[in-house]
Amino acid sequence: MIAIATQTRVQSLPEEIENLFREHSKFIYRTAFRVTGNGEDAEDVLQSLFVRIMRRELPADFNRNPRAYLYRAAVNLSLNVVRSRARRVSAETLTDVEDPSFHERSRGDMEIDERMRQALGELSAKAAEILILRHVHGYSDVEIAKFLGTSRGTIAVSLFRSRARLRKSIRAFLGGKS
Amino acid sequence: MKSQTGNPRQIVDQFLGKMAEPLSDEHGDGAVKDVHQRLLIEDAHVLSFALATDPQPVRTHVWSAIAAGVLVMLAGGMLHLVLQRSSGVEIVAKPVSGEIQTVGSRATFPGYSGIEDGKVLRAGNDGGTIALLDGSKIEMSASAELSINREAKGFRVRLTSGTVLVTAAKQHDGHLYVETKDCVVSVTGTVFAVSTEESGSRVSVLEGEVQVHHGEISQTLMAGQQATTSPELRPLSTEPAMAWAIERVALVQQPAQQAPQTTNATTGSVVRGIVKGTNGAGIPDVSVTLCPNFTQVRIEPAQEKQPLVPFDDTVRVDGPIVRNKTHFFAIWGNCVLSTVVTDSMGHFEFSNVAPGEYAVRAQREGFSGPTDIPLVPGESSVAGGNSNGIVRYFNGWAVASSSLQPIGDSTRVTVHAQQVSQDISLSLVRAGVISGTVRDADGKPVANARIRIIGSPAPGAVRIERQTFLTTTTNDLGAYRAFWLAPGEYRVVAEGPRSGTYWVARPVTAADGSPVVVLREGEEVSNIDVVLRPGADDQVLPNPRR
Repeated sequence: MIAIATQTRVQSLPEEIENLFREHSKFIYRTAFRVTGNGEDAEDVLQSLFVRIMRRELPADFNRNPRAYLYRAAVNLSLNVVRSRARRVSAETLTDVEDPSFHERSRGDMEIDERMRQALGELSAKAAEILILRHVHGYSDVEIAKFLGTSRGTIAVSLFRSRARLRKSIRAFLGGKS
Repeated sequence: MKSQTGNPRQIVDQFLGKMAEPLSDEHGDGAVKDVHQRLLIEDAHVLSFALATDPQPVRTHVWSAIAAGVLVMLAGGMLHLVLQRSSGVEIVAKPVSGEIQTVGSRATFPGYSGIEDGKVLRAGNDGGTIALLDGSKIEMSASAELSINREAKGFRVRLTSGTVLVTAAKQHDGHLYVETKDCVVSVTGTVFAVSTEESGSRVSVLEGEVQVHHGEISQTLMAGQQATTSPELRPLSTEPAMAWAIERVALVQQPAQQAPQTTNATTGSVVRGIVKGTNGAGIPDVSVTLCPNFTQVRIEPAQEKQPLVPFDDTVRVDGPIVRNKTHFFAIWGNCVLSTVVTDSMGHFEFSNVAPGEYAVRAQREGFSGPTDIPLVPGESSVAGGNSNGIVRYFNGWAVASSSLQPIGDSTRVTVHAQQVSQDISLSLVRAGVISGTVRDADGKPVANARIRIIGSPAPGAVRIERQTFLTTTTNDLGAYRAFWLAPGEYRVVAEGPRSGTYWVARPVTAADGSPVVVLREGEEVSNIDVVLRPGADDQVLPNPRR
């Protein structure tokens, strides 16, 4: 019962996934890079997301708005990375943070940046999504509202509150240090 | 603290301002491309055959069908057919184009209806095309007649008159047979034509290989070859009736060679051997698979880092794993395989194996491959953290997946022409089990929690996704059971069922007395219990071995 056929080379992903990747990967990567602050974690987030897609571990309404889903998942995964790092890194040094620009700055700055990322992780998922759309991707209130399917007023309030929270968090951090 | 302006407002503004800076090329396009490369390998894995530790063979099948180039359109049609099957009538195929008629009835099939098991079909004057439920496509010449029967493992197409051009979908656990009055063709994924005439039958292979059985004789036909059951039949290339098939496929890259007549053909060698356990006794019921022309990835020791190029290429990595050795991997997802099963003494035999280089694999549920594979997880270079991520990925896969199997001397065989037989010896070890219960902080069992069994080294590594050996979920009692694991060291990670909360139990490192589960051959390690708390550092409860 032997039967054999030629091997097929896989040069690209299945078409629909290839298309999703082409369309959204940079958006996701940039989101993840800015939230996690380093390329390795960002690559992991991007890869995990697409592995999930390839395994069809997707919500039923994924196709209705893939970009919104992917964005939300990217933010959540990235924040998870940041949060887990908080636990792990607290006792260690921060030298594994790989943003090259970090090397030119003092360690104190790095600590503050990392503290800011942790503060991002303490925001609600929705608030973080809104904040990142604004500050990483430069979306306007109206664009964010449209993207997330909510009202413009909600966006403005959320952004205002998030910034206040970040300030409060950093104030607590500085207070605790000095 | 002082180097950055101390005003919280300014700090926040500065931080948010930095977020908007564009990424450098290295951190944009380059990284995205790297991920794409890794996804290609992941895809090859998804494409691969269901292996003992693969918990989702069904999903694997669907994806491979799509990736193998079967029309996506067909997927919808197949769904339709599956639904119809519940009505008690066995639907085996679906008309795609042309005029297809059930013999004895006048009406032709509308495009949306199904073709029933065993019904005799006839194509109209312009021929027609049907799609089998497994995704195979059958083009029928004018007035060709056939019937399709579903069998326990695949489909059997009985050609009673005319010619068919078959584009076989990759067969997973079954076969596709095309039968004429005097021969049977069995395939696992290829393009070939079969025609039957009064004096006999003709089989022509356009792509891939098929096995032709004619009476007691079996013969392998390669691309470009053909066989006839009667000397009266002319070669395909001079047969006008087949021109349509050749034109349509345009895959005949070399002029058809007349294959030896099936009546006196023995073209290949015999490959035989034994599969043994650690105690040296033969193991019965092992599926032994030959993969011809396997794609191989070679890992060589090197000083410099270089990105992984997934196929046919040399991967240079640094780290302790490679030392001065070169390792080969076969990417199983990319070849269609031939499989035999060992007898009660563990012996197996492939007959008629064409000369060439093959990778060999032995698989049986509850067993795993030999433990001396070069990249065991414990030797991974993950902890170094200075690689570009590829090695880690690779390591996880080398052992986790059937798609990337390390090939040693024992699992690689070269078949020489004219050599009568070749003996090989393979070994398997009994696989083990890790089980336990997942509870929340209140001690309540967590159902549907996702459990990941991860290669153990990499203390503190976050990048668990890449080293996952197996995933499973807990049942209603919060219990999970990860089975068919190769002996080795593992960590267990649990993730809560609720989306959004993403609870992760992150075991602490081994140095802290953490749960690295050491699994020995054939053993079950139970009571690897996990407590999930949202957003908190979770821990795995006592490991009986530590």
